[in-house]
Amino acid sequence: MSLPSTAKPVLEVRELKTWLRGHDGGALLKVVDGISFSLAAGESLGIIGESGSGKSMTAMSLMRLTPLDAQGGGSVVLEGEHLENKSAHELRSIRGRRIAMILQDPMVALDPLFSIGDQLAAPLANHLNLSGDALEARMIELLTAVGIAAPADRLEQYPHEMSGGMLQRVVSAMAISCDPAVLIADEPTTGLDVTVQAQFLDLLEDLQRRRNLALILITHDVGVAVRICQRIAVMYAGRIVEAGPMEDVLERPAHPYTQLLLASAPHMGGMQRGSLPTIPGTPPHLGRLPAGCAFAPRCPQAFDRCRVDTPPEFAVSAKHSARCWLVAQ
Amino acid sequence: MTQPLLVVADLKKDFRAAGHSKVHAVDGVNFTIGKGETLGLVGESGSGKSTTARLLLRLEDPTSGKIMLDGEDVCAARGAALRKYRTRVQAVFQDPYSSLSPRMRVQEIIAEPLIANTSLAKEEIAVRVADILARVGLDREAASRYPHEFSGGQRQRIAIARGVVLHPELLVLDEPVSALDASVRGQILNLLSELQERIGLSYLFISHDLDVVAHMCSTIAVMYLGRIVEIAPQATLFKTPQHPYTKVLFSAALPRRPGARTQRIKIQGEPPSPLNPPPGCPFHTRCPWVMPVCSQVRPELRTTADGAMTACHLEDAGRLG
Amino acid sequence: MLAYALKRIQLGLIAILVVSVFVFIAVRLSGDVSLMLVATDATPEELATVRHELGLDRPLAVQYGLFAQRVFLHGDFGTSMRYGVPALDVVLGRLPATIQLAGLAFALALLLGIGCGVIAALHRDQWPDKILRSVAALGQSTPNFWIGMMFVLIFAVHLGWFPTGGRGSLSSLVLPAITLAIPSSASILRITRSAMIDALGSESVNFLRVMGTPERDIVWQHALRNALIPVVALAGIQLGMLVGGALIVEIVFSWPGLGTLLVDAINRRDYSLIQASVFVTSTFLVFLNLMVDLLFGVIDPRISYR
Repeated sequence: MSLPSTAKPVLEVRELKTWLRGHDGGALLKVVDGISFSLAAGESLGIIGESGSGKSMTAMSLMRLTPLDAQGGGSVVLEGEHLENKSAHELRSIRGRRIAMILQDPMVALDPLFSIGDQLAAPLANHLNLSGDALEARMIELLTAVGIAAPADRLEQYPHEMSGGMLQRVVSAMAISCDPAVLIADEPTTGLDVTVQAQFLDLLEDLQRRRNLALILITHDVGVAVRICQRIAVMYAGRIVEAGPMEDVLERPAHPYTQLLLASAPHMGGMQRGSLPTIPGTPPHLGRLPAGCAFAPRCPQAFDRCRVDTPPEFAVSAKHSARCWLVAQ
Repeated sequence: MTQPLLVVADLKKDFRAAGHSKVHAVDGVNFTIGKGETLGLVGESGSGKSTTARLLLRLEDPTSGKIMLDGEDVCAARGAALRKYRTRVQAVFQDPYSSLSPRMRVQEIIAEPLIANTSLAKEEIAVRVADILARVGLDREAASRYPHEFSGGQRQRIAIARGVVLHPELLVLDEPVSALDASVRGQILNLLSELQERIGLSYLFISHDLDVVAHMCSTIAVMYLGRIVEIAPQATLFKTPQHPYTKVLFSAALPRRPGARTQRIKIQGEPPSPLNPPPGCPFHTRCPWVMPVCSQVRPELRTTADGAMTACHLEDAGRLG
Repeated sequence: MLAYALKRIQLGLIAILVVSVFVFIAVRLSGDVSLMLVATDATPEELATVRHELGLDRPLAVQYGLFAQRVFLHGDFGTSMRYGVPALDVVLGRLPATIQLAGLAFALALLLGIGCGVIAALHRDQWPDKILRSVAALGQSTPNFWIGMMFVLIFAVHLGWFPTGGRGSLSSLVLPAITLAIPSSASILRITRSAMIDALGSESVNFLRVMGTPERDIVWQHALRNALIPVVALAGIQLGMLVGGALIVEIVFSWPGLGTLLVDAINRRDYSLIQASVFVTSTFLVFLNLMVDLLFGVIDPRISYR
């Protein structure tokens, strides 16, 4: 999926692959199987996937933090530099500095034994060599930027003394502390209350705009992506099956999986009661993918070719594409 | 009008927190559930919805108030009466990964309520288990497998099977689909609707997800800090929400279409801790329409048009809508 | 934190009180003390007189009251039958030897156990890990006295590097301390290893990696500190065992500690000495556990007064 953008891309991903050995040492799990996209500064991409689609491993692959025995492939180019050629030492100075990530559950992401101040100071000290007054000033500035009141007091506190929403703000402050070019947020609002989620998404949008971040938002909830992303990519069995501008994909979904996903979501606005359309069957085991299109076994519109040949990317419109033989017709 | 199945009157539950202060987790809750009806309980952290569920399941004793099943007060039920109550009120919980014992086979998990609460023979129990498994859409051979061999959606089906095997009249569902993938949610919700029609179940459906609640529930109660601030039929609630908190909640819900961004009513702060509830109306500290009276007098639930009830001084002042 | 410390101290004092009651009852149960103090052909009247003098005809609660008064206010456990001096003095005289031995053994066990545990965790399933785990298993299953005797044989008798027993110069402390440390360090190694593996796989370490934190900070600052929580808990128990259970080592190395003193006193029915010995050892253990609890409060900010 090339997803061409207008401006010079800050992140270019080509045929990214991460294959893992299964637990029993058996089948090779093609968790990430050829992901391609590019992102410019100030752009936001939502990656939608369910469990088993490989979306979290995609984030880890971008950060070059896959398990040691994983087979990798493809290229990740960050601000013009190929990350796959870098040494461990170089990567460590890039992570958190030029590309950062917000994890799902802030309660476990932060170390319970260290104060907020200690944890927030770490990337600033490691990457930017800040210390003393300059360090403290920057921390207060960051906490204020993420909407935390009384920042100086918060620095002394410990994670268990703060609520989930507050902790997610702290994690965000840490992520943007060194002014990265790319920010990845992996299911950042799971477990947050409705109003807290809304506030947090406001914050993400605000941060992205003000700092011209390239944002990748990974989620299983289409609504979260709709809220702040301009572009959307739908993942299934380790591949992007459809991608394009948000409105195009949502109004005119081309891939049957996307269509079913959108149709099966219960919807507050519509008053439909009664049966929801569902996707029959279950996602495939990543070590036993069927021949041809991975979605064919569950696809109500599948025909013979689907079960034999894996469809390549086809253009639905200028910026919207889908991996589906139906589009070719 | 026939007698409703469940009547909850002025239910209260206090907890003692560290430092000897009292937490009013549930602070005077009233609602009814009719036969075959689904009541939704919506709220955020600290709203008291989970505690209400636990009270109904008699996992906790209420501090005061009544819970009446078919006219009988069950708060004081003990021993045989309590066991009888349990056959009539069952539960399905949120996390399909921790609500099923990993050491028991599916057969044993589903048989357990029957063994504990009835005196049926082994053969009879086996028949019932097989019957229920089929009803929730699982194969016969699922019975001899362990929970970890199933996906999240399938495990939730097992949990539902366990919940209905006693043929209860009321099923308490606490966030039953929140931990499931989007595409699986629909399947489970469909199953729940189907079961309700076929067996004639009533549901107490607790969720923070407004879309799910809108789909499943005929009546919905919105809770805040242990109290119901608004309760209305589904159509009325979503068309014309009355209470400021309900409006805020709806405006915070995620849009389904890029263009459909409703006007956000932004409020400051987070859901308050029940340890230090504000005086008067619990929502007044964050309410965009707060008036002086709101910090002094606690508003009571009053009926507005269309069978809805809301607890707000704006209603009294005729300024809602 | 202060509230937590006070509560712990309070519980410690209650524990000491319970120990005193237990000591009181245990000694009274083991036989009539008065019989030891009179001739075998004493008349019942003479026996009764002795009993009255000792206050043994008073109600049990009163006897305990008198006992508690003597012990807590005056430190008076009676005179040791064997040594002829106040029992408490005898016990306190032996205390330094036990503290030396247990202290050095504990330090060695921590150093070895934690150090090797971390190494094993960092090289999980590779050969350093496998070797360390085998050695640990060996250390826990080989009889402690055999190890001690082998040490004496090899290092004291054959090589002559250390004395064969008794307490004297610093070198006499080495072999007994190492012998005593071995089983403890094996347990600590295993707990450290598994706690480190858990910590290194946790979400917070994941986040640290995502933030580009240097690996050495991750291992030695974050993972280790989190791993120490279960280790400190275990270490506290181990310390108790080291203080109270060094008997075998004391015998093998003729180390004049509290272990041999107590066993000796029991054999001789030296009641005053038994009382004093058990009481002092227990109080010392309560104190050590209190230190461990307070250490928890320092390491883990989540611990609060409940």
